[in-house]
Amino acid sequence: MEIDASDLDGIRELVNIGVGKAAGILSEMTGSTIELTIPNISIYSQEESGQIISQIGTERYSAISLDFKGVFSGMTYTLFPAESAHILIDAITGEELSEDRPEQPFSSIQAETLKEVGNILINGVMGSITNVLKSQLTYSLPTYSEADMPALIQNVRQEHREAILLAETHMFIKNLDIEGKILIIMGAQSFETLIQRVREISRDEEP
Amino acid sequence: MPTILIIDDSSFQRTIIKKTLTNEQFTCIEADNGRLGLEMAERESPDVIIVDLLMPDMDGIEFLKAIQEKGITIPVLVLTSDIQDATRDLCLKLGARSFLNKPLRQEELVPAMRKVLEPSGDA
Amino acid sequence: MNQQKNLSVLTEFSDALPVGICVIDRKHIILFWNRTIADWSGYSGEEMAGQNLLDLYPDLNTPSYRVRIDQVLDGGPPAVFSSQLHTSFIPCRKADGMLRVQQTSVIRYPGSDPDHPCVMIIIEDVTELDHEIRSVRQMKDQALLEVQERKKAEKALEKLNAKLNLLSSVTRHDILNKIMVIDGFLGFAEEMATDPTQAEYLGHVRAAAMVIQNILVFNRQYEQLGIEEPTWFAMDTLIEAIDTEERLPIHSACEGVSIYCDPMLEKVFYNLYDNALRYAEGATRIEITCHPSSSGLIIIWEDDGTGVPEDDKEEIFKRGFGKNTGLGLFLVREILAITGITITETGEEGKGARFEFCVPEGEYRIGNPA
Repeated sequence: MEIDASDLDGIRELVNIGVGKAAGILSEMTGSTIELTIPNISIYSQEESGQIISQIGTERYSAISLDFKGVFSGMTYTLFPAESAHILIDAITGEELSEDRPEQPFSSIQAETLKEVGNILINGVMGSITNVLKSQLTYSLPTYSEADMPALIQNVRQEHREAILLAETHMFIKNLDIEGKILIIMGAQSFETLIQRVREISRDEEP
Repeated sequence: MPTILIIDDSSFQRTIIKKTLTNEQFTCIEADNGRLGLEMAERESPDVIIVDLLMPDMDGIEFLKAIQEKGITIPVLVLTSDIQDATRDLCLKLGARSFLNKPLRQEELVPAMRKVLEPSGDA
Repeated sequence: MNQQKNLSVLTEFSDALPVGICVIDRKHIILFWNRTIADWSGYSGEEMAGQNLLDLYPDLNTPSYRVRIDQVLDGGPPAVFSSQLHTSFIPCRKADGMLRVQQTSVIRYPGSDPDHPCVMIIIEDVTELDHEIRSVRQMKDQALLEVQERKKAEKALEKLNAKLNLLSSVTRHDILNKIMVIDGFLGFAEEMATDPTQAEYLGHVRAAAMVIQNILVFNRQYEQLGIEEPTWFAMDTLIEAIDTEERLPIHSACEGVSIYCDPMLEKVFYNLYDNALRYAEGATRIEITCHPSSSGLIIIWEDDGTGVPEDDKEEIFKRGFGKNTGLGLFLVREILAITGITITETGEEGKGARFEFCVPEGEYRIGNPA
């Protein structure tokens, strides 16, 4: 399916709405104002999934995932690089924010914090997609893991791995950059349905 | 028929707003960034301006400052995905008449628009 | 209505569950309040039905709760509220007054009508688990604190030790310089002395000066003891390092044996060899053998000289014993003791001296040294 600039614009806006909501919640949890930026959206076919890896590398991420099923089905991830994960944990648990951090694995309590933040971000984005596109989905509960991008993509069932939507967002808490990546991985049919819904709304086409 | 200027970088979002407002007999004109929006506000003198916050090439906050500096008194309604109280307070301080959150709800936008258009002009 | 029927089914089984369950609609009106949450909160299901949850629990009327609940109502994924970040979703106390710590999940109520969405709030009591986590965390923090304090104390001791070493080395150096002056002038005085009594007195002065010098030399060596970490030494290498100059040959049968010891171990063998040269009259050779035993490795160092008299066997290891400095074997025993190695004299007078080392298990290796 050919994706054009206005499809990307629609998805960007849906992600934007979701991230805005998530930032509002995080702002209350951290007691700090959060500055937002416009998310960057890219879409890859299964054949192009190698490009994602060459583009964003093979570093280990803190990954929060959940499955969704319905008019479109697949898996969604929120990924935080270690540096951003540390800033988030410090900001939420009220630790002193500092630039240098020990290279230690996350404790189960820290993972619990990251899981909740990831849950907030996924809910923002998936919530805005289903709400604006008026699509009913059912979801699994969120889970937490630490892995690199190839492993995360491999985790998704083959038939749900035909299209990858990558949204890269940046939020700033006290001038510290928190980088979050949202991956929505779907089957080709599901992806077409999603784009079709976006077009129905953005091109004055009545559903 | 009141004319509404919609300033939002997302054509997707502008279409949603336009559809909602055209159904309610408003006329809509559009701009995809703050700078262009400012030019259109001066040239077209719309009745109400709806502005997004996060935009390239003059964002919503800069736009609010700019129309204040230019002495333009057209009521402005901010429609943003940013739900932080701090952001709302800043917009209202910069002269915005109303502050609404995305996703847009028809049942919120239309009454807010009518209220802004009332002769007293208070939201 | 379908929803009502669904809720009555929910009532039947959810009252038996040990989790709190509450169902609310789009306007946050309570439709269902199970028995467990009724017990915890003290409000019955009948009392709660029809009430607005956010009015009853105003903390829930903040973005971090309300926006997230509304997202689920709008069709978003489940929201999970970790007990680590939100102590209680619905604050309620146990009989002992302790606040229940809750882990909460908010999911769309599966039976709900799409036009009138509801969410189900599932609350688990994790108070016990939370207390365990907290006490483990406290223990860990305490342990980390203690380690930090110990490190500080160690640093302070290191500094103090360095200062003392510096002081003693400077003092030693100064005294040795003065002894050289004494030595020089004694030489002149001895040449000039014509009176035998005077010469005898000068002899005493020289002997005393030499004792002072030896004490200082010992002092310097003793200070090195235990400064460096013990390490592995191959017996062969140590023995080869002794420069025998063909005076008294050494025969060793300890190939492949390594022992774990203070780096001053070299001095041990050097001292034993020096002693043999000085005191083992008529000795022709030195034999070194190793014998594993139940108490560890026994290393025997023996010569065929005059041997050590029975009464002196323990005395020779005391400071001040002997004709020379009286420091050699004392130091030898101290060096070995650092890694638990003992040394005793077990020879027979007239047949030769025999030093027996006992190296504990784990402090020696036989075979290819790693």
